[in-house]
Parts: sequence; C-alpha cells; structure tokens
Amino acid sequence: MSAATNIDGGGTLAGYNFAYLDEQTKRMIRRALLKAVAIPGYQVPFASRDMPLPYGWGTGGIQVTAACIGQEDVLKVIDQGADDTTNAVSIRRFFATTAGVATTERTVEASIIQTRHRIPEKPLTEGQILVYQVPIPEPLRFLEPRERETRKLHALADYGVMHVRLYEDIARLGRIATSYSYPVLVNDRYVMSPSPIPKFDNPKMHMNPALQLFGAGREKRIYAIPPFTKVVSLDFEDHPFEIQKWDEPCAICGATGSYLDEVVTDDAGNRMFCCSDTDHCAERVAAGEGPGAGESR
Amino acid sequence: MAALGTDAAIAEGFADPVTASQEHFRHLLDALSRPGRIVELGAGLPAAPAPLSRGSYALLLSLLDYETPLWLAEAGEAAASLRFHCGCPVTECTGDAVFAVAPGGAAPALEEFAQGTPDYPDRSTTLLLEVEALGEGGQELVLRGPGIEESAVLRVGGLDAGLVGQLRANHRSFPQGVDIVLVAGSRIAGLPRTTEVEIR
Repeated sequence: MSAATNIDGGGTLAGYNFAYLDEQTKRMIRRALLKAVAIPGYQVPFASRDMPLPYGWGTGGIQVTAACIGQEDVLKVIDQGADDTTNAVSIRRFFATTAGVATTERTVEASIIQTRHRIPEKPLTEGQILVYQVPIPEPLRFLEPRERETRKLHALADYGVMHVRLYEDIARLGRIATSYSYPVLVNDRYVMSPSPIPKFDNPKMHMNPALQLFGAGREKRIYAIPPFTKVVSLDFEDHPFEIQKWDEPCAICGATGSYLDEVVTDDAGNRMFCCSDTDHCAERVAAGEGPGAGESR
Repeated sequence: MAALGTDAAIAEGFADPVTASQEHFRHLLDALSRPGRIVELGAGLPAAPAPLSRGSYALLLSLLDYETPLWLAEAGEAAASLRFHCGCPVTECTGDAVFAVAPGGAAPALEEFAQGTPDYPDRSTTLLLEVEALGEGGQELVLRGPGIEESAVLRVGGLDAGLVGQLRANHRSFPQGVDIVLVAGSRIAGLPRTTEVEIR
C-alpha cells in the first residue's frame, strides 16, 4: 500500500489560519488537553468556540483535532464506523482545506482519527490519537441536572446514583439494558461517559496504547484517557458487564468478531447485518474474505 | 532579580509560531501522556533568555498567553521576553501561577503552587523543573501509573532528593496536585500527578 495522500484534494484556504482556529484559541484548548491527560476521566471546562457547523455535528471533536493537528499528520474521520457518510466526509474535507493535511480512510495509516460513536475494529497503536465527538460529557447529567451538584459528586467520587440506575435496569428487565454510552470508571477514580459508542467498544478503551481525547463543543468540556490506563465498565458481581453478540456474521465480509449494523434492504422487511467499520470490512473483502470464505475473525 | 523590566533585552521568539507551537505542544502532550519517556523537542529551538533552557523557553512560548500568569524562580531576561512575545502576566505569587519554572535542585515546595480544588482539580500549576540531565545522572526513578504499561525507569541528573518525597505526596493528593515537566536542554519528560514515583 502506498503512503497516504490527501484523498480529498489539496490546497489550503486563503485567509484562514492553519487548521481554522486562531492561535490563542488553540493555546487555550491545548492547555485544557494537557490538564485532561493529567487527570484521566475528569472533564476540563474550556472556552468552546462557534464553529462553521452546528452543535451536534462534532464541534468539540473538531476543535480538539484543530488544536492537535500538524502538517505531518494523516487524518481519518469516521461516523458510526463509516468513512463515507456526510459528517465524516465534510469534517475530513474541512481539515484538508484549512490545514492541507493528508487524509485517509485506512485506520493503519492515520495518526489522528476523529470519531463519532465508534472505535475502529483494528487495534490502535502507540503513535495514534483517537478524538471522540461527545454530545453529553456528563455521565450523571440525566440523573442530576444541576452542574454544581454533579461536580460535587465527582469531587467526592460519590457514584452511588449511577449504580442505582444500573440496578434499576436489573430489577425491571433482569439485565443492564444500557447498550451505548455505557459508563466507565477511569483509573479507579472518575466515572466517565465514553460518548455514545456501543458498549461493544468499551473494552477497547482499557489499556489502549493510543491516546484518547474527548471534545464536547456545546457542553464546553474536554477530557482524556492517556495510553495504558485502566478503564472499567461499571457492573455488579452477579451481573457482569457483557458486550453485544450477533447470531450471524457480516453479510459482506463474513466477520463474526466485529460490531454489526442492521440494514433494512427492501419494503418487505428483509434485512442484513454488516460491519459498521467500513475500512475493516473493505480490507477483509480485499483480502478475499466473504460470507462463504471461512471465518477467522 | 532584575527588574521586570523596561530596559531588559528581548530574546527572539519563534520564526514560525504556528508550526513551532503545534510541534512543541504535541511533544509535551506525548511526554505527559507517557511519563518516563524522554522526548526531544528537536533542533532549531530559539536561543533562550537567561536563566531558561531552550526547552523551557520553547514550551512557554508555545503555551502562554494573557490568561496564564507565569512564575519564575529567577526573572532575568526571560520575564521581559515572555511578556513581550506572549503577553502573559508575570506573578511573584506561586499560588497564582498557571505555569512556573524553577531549577530542579532548588525549587520551592510543591505544595506552595496552585493545587486546584476538589471541584476543579485542573486549576493547578504546571511546573517546569530545569534539571541537568535526562536519561543519565544520579537519580534513578521508577514510575508507575496511567501512560505506563508496567513500569518505566527514568534517570535524572540534578533533581533535589527532597523533591522526590514531595512528588510522592503530590501523587497521593490526586486528583489535586501540580503537574511537572522535567527539562534538560531540549529534552523533556513528563511527571503528571497520576505518576507514582519511587527511587531505585
């Protein structure tokens, strides 16, 4: 495979600073990131800026990426695992245009991966940075709406209310029904929202060699998980944490170990299950794997 | 201490501030996310005003602005230069400092710097400690914690022995505490408050 090139065309936009944000804003975000790394799982407030796209489209992730990215970086952007959806393509083009950086769809080639709601299937490596787009950074927000109170709960490491919520699931439904945004305990101290990734991806956060950064633009919070940091999904001894499983393999590449999306294929209600990580799926197909090809992983 | 002043010489800043500050930030991010790793800031750092090393001067030029009071153990030409380039206030109160620089052999007690509060532990000082050597020298520190797979060994020259005990107290006060960057010339190593330090 040749080295990554800019798949979105090149050339930086005249009249804008490198990577869009002005230098003072970048410094402010960089200082927040350094503190976030020093206090894993703690949400650092930052002065989130208006970006040229609406809240909810990844303004937090974009600001974190803009503060980190340099001319040597290779950027990949995924939206629910896919490189080719509107949000992913437009954010990738944004940086191709404002920073002139190389972009890629391949996980192995990327030095910075900005993600909405997935962690790539291929294990990340030491040099990589994973930037999450986060809508609601506060894991306790739906249990306690007052910021002053949730801040106090974090200060006291008082997370009983979260365990009660998980217990109520068990009392009503017999199991913990949370399937995405599943809360984690970072470095034995802070309960953290992993952003709306499926709980399938939670175990990948634990002791990951890559640096994981989280940006919430509307809520104005940045947090981080340094490499090789303990990340535990909350559970109970008699109801241990479990990830999703599927009865059938990916209909395109035959993978059984990846996170599958359910896709309705016609008006008769027929459906298929296929990998949500498009790069992982395409790589397997290119390697000759398929539903009939015999499954390894 | 020279007056924070008017007739002090101003040292040169970055030739290309956008690229240089991004690169140095990434090096510092790398150092703080992987304690024990020695990171080289690279050649071509601007000459530093006294008493700073090139490494400290480059990091401060990259991160300071009007929001970040700076405390210097010895002001020298550095205070005037950084005020000129970054517009940062220079404070004489360690507790107000967002960034601080001190020699590794004669630093104030760590608890004198801003520790953050239980609600806002991020509001603490980042302290650059100027040491004589990294990767060699008299002290051998064994590090454990986030960013380190098992344990890491860091050799440091010119770090006050009493300071190592303070580093342990700093770690115990987590999530509050200061974050430390050891600087030797153009080489840096991070010791965030999450890192548990032992002397071998």
